[in-house]
Amino acid sequence: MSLADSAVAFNGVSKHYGDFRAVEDLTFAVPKGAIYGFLGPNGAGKTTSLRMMLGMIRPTAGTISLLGSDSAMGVRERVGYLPEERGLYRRMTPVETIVYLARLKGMDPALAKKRALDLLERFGLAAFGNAKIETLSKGMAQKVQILGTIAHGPDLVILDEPFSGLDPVNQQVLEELIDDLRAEGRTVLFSTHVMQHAERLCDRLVLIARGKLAFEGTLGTARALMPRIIRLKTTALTAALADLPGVASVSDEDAAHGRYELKLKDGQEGEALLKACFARGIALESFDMSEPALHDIFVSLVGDGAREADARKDAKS
Amino acid sequence: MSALARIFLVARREYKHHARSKGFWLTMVAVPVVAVLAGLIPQWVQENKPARAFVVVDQSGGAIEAAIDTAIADDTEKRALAALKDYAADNLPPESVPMLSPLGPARGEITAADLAAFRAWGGVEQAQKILPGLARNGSPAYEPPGPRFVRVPVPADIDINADAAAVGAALAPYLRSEKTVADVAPAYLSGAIVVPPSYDLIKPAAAIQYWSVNINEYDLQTLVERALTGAAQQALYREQGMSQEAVSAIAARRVGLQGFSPDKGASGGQVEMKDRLLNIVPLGLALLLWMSIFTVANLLLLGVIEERSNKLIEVLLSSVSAEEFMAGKLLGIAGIGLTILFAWIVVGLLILINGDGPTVQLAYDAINLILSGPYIPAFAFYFVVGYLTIASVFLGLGSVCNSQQEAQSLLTPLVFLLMLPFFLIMPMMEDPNGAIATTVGWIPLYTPFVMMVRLSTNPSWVEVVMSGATTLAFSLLVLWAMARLFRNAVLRTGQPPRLIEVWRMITRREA
Repeated sequence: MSLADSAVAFNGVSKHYGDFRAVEDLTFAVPKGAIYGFLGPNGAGKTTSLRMMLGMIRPTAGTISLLGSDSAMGVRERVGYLPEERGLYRRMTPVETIVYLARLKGMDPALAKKRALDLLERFGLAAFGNAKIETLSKGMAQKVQILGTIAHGPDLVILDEPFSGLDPVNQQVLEELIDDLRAEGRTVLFSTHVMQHAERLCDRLVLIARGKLAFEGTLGTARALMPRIIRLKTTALTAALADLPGVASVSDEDAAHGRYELKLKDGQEGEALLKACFARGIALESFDMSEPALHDIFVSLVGDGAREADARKDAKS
Repeated sequence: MSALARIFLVARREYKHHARSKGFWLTMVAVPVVAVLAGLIPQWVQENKPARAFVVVDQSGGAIEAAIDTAIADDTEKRALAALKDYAADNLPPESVPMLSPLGPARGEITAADLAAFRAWGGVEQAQKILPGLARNGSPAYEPPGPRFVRVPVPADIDINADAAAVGAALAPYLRSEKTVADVAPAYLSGAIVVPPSYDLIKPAAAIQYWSVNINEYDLQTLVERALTGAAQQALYREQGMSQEAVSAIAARRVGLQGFSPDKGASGGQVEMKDRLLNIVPLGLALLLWMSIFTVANLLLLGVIEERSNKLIEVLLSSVSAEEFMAGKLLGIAGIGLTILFAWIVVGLLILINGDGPTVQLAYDAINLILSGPYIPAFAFYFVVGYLTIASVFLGLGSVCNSQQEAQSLLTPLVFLLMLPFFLIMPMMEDPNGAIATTVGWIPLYTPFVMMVRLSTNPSWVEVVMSGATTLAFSLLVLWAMARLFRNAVLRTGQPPRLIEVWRMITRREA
């Protein structure tokens, strides 16, 4: 992907604090117009990477390009950013807050006001537009902040854990908002712990662990990395299952209940296995060949890293 | 959008946010009101103190009691005369004032001769008779203050011939207000004077005892001591064969020194009250400078702590650079400071316009002095450099603290450090060009306040310019250092950095 096609490009980016390596040699590119998942366990270096992306901190090594510019500050008016930990001026109203944030991004005052009122109306906060933030619920305040992030119509929206703290209904609203942004041709990069959101929304994702790149690509590519597991229930014996073509190994821990997990060899498909079962007269009570969930991929790729990262986080602070 | 536009936006939000707070309005109104009250209340309390009752147990024959009665009567009439002079200054048209000229000068101490003249003139009765015809229309009536002390008869249950200590002890329930000495006010005894039998003014064998519960109340004791000292001195003169007239003339004699200054060429070098303003006014301006800067610098500290603790700072820093954000905050809060300052001046002027009398005249003299000297440009310059230094330090402090409690522990020593010149006010006032004032004036942190005080004493222009340039350079250095600290510390979480880490954040390019 060329620089011109990417909204964000990290090229060999590292960030060191003394001996501590928060981010190490990170290279990836976010295509324009994509919904891009930025995943990783706690302390993996996600927030540090996002801050470097936004020019708040400088990388120790490597280069970052944002919307084709090597200076984040130069294109800040085309970027919207929602940090993981958020807050607002308690004594300001939602309208004032959104107008202020949009104006800092260079929006015309009258237009910013109109946009604030439209957004509040659309997201069910019109009645609270002139109430002080301190009187709003946490969820409402969070919505206001999300609206403040997108009010100026940014080309690139960076959301750090946008779903945390939102109830299921508002999580759904946010998912719809992200879809809308995609429909408008904007690029959305978001980090999350909730794999279902990433699974539903992302075109591509990057996974980092211990500050290093663990994976970058589409969900399909990620799934292909995982061995295919078939779960079935049968009265057949382990040996008969292991003898089936394409089966790499059989897990029979729950054989007492007739349940088995069959790991397929690389390139083998579930359909072929199902046919082989019929051909050999193996009676099946159930046959589950669903694709691996992102959750499983995440745990498989960064499981050890996640446990280690907690220790790293302690060391950093 | 340009950096300036972003700075202006941040400044505008800061200004609007603080201008809408109750604290802002309270500070604008309360400070001048408190300042005026602080000036008026002690005077009002002094003027409106209720008369206090005392008894005299004179076992020496009655001469001391008579002398005390005379002293009390003189005191009351002197106060009536002083009030008459104040009344005349405030309410009489200038052409009527000469009618009161037999009563001595318009201001200053009232002598025995003035008092005698007042009595010969007709005293309070005469004043109350003629003043209504002389005073301007709408003037209040002349009301002389009542006596400060009232001698009441010794309570019947006291044995006035007992030993002095026993008399004092017997009066204890009255002095402690457990018993009253009269049915009407003053009903409680505030003091008792017990004169032993052998007491003689010329050859006192034993001391006169003064009994009171309130040992810090010296008014009556001082009045009686002065009166009896005068009576004793006069008795001694008479014993030497002097006539009463000669003795009175000696007692009335006063010698004063007229103050002169070589800097007062135009008025022949003579120093007037107006000239003393030269010392007082710059000190007042220095205090005003200090107060206006400190009142708002604290807002910066609290603001940054709020933005840090609720993580708002990260959103803002994705739109403005740390330097732009800091500049916007400094500018917005400076606006608040200047608004408060302006309001203080307006409220002060309003009080002046509606006031009258000698104090108000003095205030007008002070304003003339401020307008005629280098004070306004100097104040503006010292406000800018003082504000830049102190406000940016407060901002830097806010960028490393997570809570007000954390900030408080760092702030206390800092405020003491910044208040140091005010502990040195007295020696600097006494000798504005002395070693202390000159040295402290060169310390950049203190230059704005100290040089403001010293401006009226004509320090050399080299000193003024050089110390000004030094403090300006210092404030820019502090601003630069605090901007680096702010940039590198404001996104940090966890414990506040140690001093060495702060130093590293300032000196190295990136944290």
